[in-house]
Amino acid sequence: MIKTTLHYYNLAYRDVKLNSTPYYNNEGSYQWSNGQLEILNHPQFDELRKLYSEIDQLETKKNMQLREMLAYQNPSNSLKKESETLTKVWQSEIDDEQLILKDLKTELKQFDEDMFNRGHYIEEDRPAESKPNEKKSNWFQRINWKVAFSFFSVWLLLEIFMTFIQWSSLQNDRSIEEILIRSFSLAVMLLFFHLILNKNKENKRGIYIVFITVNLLMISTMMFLPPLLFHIFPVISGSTTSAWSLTEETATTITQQNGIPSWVAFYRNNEWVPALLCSLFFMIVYFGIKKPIDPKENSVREAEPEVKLKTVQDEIREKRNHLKTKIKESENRIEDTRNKQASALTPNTTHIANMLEKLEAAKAEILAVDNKITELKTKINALLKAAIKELKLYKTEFLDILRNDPVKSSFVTPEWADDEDNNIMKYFGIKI
Amino acid sequence: MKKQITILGLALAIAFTLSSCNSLIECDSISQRQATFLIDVSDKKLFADIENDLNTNFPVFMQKSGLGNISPCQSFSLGFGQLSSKEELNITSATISISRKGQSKKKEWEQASPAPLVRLMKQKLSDYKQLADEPQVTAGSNICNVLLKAINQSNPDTENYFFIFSDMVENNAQLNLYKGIPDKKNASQVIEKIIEPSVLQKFSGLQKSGIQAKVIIVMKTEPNGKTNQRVVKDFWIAVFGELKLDVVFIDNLSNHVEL
Repeated sequence: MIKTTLHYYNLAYRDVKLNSTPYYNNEGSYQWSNGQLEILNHPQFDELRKLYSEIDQLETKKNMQLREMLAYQNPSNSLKKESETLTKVWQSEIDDEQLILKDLKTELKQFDEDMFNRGHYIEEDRPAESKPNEKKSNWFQRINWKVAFSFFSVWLLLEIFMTFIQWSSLQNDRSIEEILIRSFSLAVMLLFFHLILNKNKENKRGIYIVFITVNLLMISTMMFLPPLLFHIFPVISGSTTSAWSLTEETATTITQQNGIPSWVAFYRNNEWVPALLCSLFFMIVYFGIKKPIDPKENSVREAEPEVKLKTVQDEIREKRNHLKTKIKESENRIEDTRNKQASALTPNTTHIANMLEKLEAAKAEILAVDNKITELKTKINALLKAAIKELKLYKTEFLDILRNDPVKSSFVTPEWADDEDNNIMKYFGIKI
Repeated sequence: MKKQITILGLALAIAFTLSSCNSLIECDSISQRQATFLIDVSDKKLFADIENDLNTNFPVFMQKSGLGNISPCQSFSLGFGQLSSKEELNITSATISISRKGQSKKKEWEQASPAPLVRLMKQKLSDYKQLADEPQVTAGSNICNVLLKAINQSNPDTENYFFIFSDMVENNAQLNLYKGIPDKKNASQVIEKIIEPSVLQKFSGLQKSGIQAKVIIVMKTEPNGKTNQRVVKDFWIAVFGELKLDVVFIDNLSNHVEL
């Protein structure tokens, strides 16, 4: 805090009168005048000592951190070197094994090409044809669309043909329900025919032939019997005028020829009966009758104990399997080596990571200390400047007073410090 | 096992499909048509004339008019009532209908056969023939009130046709056209006189609700020549006009009628 000029004047005046002048002693150290000492001993400059002490402590702390960093840096470097050495060792093993694997794969490929060129198709390499027991995930793929299309085509053609030849009776005698039932019956009979026909192809049996014959007979009945009956036993409709007549005895809309057999009437109302009979027959044939055991199959099984001769295919398969096994073993060895390498390197890696972490922490702390020191030094500089300024004011007043006192000025020669801040720092014990 | 389940599933699917085809077979609603024949039995000669007309012209009339012709989801009812000295309404009816679609023609013809209606008609004509001989019945005739009663009890949702076979010479305690035919200008007063108030009220209500009713009067000549047919006709035209009834006068069923 700068005091008034009077204050510095008073200090200087007193010093001049008391002959208290600053000077350098024989040892070269600067001796302050009383006034200067009074300025420097002002409480505002006490903080300088404290600040400097704090800086000193921080410097000490910083040096400790630096030593710690060195302590971590050296082992981490050695661990890194060790890891690199280990990596090299394992990697060379892995590289050697990979070369072996490559050779084996080349050998297998070459072998396959040779066999292919010789005309030996290896079973595993054939294009994917569906095996009988192979399950298809997609139900859509399970359907044999060719067969389904042919079935529907046949059904449609038969329907058209049947409708054509039965048109006259259909118009008058059949309702929508009856037409649909008839159509469905035909489809069912065709389906059964198709199924049993296929079964017969696989395994010829008399009962299948009988069913096929009966089925064809039923289909023919469905198609040709109604128009035939319509021709033999027609349905006649009456005129509407006579229907309203009050004088005729029988005023009915429809007159029918007398003597229609009951079976004709029954069949006309139940055209699905042939389909029903076919269905029952089908159930018996398809599900009821078991497949007989073929005696030839049994005799073949009993002759099995004979030793099988190896075919070319078997030999090829053996060779391939051998190569594949070796390839698999090589791959496993590579995998094992890699695992060993990883397990060996893991502790080092962990240590290095820990050390690096600590180094980072120390570095951060050092940076914080540096910042604090800088802050403190700034404060010290500010205080020093203030002290210098006050001392300069005191010097100005002192020189003025001395100049105005010719007696004193003749024998008093004050020595002013060359670099006042260093002397001030010395005074406060601040090491330069 | 899988095949059996597959076949069973297929059968169920088809059954379900068929059952959902109800819209092709079932009728959403059945439109109805009703014809009521009110036959005057108050005079023997008159009834004989009517009977002859029916025997001769009824079949052709039904064929030409198409009144009794029904299609799938349609029904036709034919009812018979008598007009006599008794004021009561007594209607006997029979119905033919085709209640499903998609049937064979043969089935539709069977269901549309008018045989039950014809049987009923024959029976009623036979009954009325006997009634026409009874003095209690022939003592007078109530026409308009009975007609309105018949209209009141008909179904407002159907097409209703009322055929009156009569000479239209009303003869009862409220009105005796033999004694004198009221002025056409007094039609409203006559209506209040000859028709019961409750009947008239209900009839008015039905008219407001929009009942479909057409009246065809097969007007015969008074057998004894005691009245002027034209004057009688004019009178009834005025009365039915006052009642806002759709009325057509014909001589017999051989006449063309727009239904």
